[in-house]
Amino acid sequence: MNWGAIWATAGAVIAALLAGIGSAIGVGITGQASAGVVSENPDLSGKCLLLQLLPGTQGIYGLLIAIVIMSNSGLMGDATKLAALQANTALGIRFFLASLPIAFGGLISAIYQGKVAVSGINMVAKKPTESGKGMVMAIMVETYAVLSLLISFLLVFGIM
Amino acid sequence: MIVSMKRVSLVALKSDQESILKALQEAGTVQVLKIAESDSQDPETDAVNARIQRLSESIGAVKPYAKKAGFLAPQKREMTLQGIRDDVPKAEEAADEIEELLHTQSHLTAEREKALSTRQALEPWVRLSAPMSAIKNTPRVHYFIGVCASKDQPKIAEQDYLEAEYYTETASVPTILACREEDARNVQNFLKTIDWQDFVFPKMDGTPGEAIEALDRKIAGIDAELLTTQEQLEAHGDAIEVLQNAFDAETIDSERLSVRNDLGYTARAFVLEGWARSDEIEKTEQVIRSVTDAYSFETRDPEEGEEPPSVVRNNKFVTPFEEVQTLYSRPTYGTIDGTPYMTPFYILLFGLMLSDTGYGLLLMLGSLLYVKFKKPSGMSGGISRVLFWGGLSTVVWGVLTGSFFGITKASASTIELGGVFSQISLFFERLGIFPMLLDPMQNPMIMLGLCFGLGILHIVAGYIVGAIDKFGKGDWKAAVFDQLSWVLITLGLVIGFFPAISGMAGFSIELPKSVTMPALIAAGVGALMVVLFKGRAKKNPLKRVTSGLGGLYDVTSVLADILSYARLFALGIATGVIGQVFNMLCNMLTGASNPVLKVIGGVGCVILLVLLHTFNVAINALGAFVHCARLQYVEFYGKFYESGGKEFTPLSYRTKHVRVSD
Repeated sequence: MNWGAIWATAGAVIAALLAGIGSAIGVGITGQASAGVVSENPDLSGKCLLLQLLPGTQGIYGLLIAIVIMSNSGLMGDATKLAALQANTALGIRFFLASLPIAFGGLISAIYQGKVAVSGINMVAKKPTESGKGMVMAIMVETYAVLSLLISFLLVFGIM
Repeated sequence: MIVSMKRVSLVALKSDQESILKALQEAGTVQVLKIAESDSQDPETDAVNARIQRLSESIGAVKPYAKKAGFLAPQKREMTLQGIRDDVPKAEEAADEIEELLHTQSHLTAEREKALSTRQALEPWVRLSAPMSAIKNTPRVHYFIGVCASKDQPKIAEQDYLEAEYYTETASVPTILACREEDARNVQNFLKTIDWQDFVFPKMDGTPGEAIEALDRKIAGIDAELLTTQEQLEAHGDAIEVLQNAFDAETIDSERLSVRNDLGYTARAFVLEGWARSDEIEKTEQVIRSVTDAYSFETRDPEEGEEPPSVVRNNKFVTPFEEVQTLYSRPTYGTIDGTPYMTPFYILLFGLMLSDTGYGLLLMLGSLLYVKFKKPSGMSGGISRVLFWGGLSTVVWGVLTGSFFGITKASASTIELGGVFSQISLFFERLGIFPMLLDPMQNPMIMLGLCFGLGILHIVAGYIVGAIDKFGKGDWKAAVFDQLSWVLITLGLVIGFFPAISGMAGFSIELPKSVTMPALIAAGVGALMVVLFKGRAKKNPLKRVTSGLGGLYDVTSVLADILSYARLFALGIATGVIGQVFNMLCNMLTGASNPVLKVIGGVGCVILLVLLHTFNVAINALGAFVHCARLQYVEFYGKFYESGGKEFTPLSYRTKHVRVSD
């Protein structure tokens, strides 16, 4: 068994998977709230859509880290990198650990950002002019996904 | 800057009231204050509001059938006030007809529902071959009509004084029971012991089967009528512009009429109190003078305890960024307008978060076209102009970091991207601008350091803006001890520890002691200023120092502020890497060796590239916009800005569908 490659694959998988799940939940609940508001007032669909998009970024960050892991570890076909990875289990574990910040930071922040965005959508229903404030509130949560992304990214780039 | 406001009071004759209010509404310079509690319901206002309600319903009803405005049509069409007023009678007529049609529609729909439910109830009875009206009690025979559970059929059979007839073989069975009149009471009691529900035939002729046929004919008739009504409604789709014009005309009237309740009255005169911008006082008075000479118009400065609305005025370049500030909050009246200070940082930081020449060009072009054709005003107008400048900054940062639609020098050489991409990369390289500064993917730590550096600049600028504002107000103590002290601490610590920090980041830069020592001393002086003077309002020296030490703890929040600028780097990387990934995926499509597949793949590749990059620029521009706004609101405005100003809402033409022109 070449544990190095397996660990690195697990890292790419968990980054894309957990952050993706988080974004799916976040975008899902905001989508439900948007549909409710838009059914009452179709003119607000644009504002609701912007709020619904916000919890979607964590999934993209997860994808990004997954792809950076794949390309830096040689999983995408770079033979010399892959050989080094397969010869060294510790290297694979480092890729795996590097994926954890965005995996869990993304998962949880996306869900909570979704909840804040739902409140923002309810606010838009009552006061359509205040949608900007709702977006800023939601973006406060995203800060921590961005920080997770940063650490994951720097760790992956620090490996090779 | 914040415009100074004047409190205005106007006294004039009641006979001139309507024309003065009309003139003021056209000028749009005075926000009227409520000075009288009037509980009298004004029939004129009620009538206008009822008309607005009706027009709004009509607009909603015909909107689905209206011709869609062209993709490039302006947000609001330009109309004269007279033009939209002239549409009111036509709109009233259309609204009458639409209301009638809607009424017919709902009536028909209700009829249809009723017929459908009767039909449904009769369905199980089709096997009954007698006319429904024939089944009624005679002096000798009593009938029971209802639905019983099939499991109770044996029990019914046991009752020898009952004659039963069943019409289906389902779980609940339509049933007619017959008995002699004298047994009727017994049967009633018996029915209570089994699962039985009475049923009443609808008052219709013929057998249930015939009745169902009649109902079907009726439903078909209703459907045909509904269709005609629908077509008639659709024909009114063209009336939407007239309806919208009238809606706006009535809204203008409604707003002016509602102001009448805010005025004070004497027997012959009215009193209007309100706020106006000090630079519009003359215009306001001119407007009144053009109506009448019989008036008294006085202005004064706001008094203690009054809270005038907050309006900011800036030059043409900065004005769009006021909308970014308004998204957060207007400045409290009498404090400082952050827009001119925030604008350069907003542009600088926005571009860094996208940092791609191609995306920047797209943003610039998109916002330019949007402003040109849609002529947006207010919030969307401001934001589209902000995005234009953000796009320009993105282009510049894209050149500095060497990225064009996700193509970088490194990605073009390591990932096989097909001839076109490497040609683009080569083209930029030959110009010597790819990248001009550094590639963040190759030197992430230096890029991160650059982001923190910009953050420190931003934060220090925030403190300095606050200091200048406080100096201007004559509060030099606050300026020095609360603002400049932190400039000393922040800059002192950063410069003093720069060698250590840069060492951690992997690009050790040594600074001579002659630079670091004075910096650390400056930081110490700043800290001492905070400790000694933060609690200067407190008399007790011990409490004063405790409060000062507590104030020094804010150094952690400054550190957190600086670290927050890491998002600049992370979002920039995210945009770039996602762009690269999209290029890589699309490139896979062109890899086929079969020429036919290669052509198909090539076409798919181009379509996908357009779609994916549009998606990337859209979602990341949204992210950059909001994250950049956050950096202004929290990290920058936190140092000097006082939020909570009230909006200035003068009596004016507040329309939804048209822009009123002269």
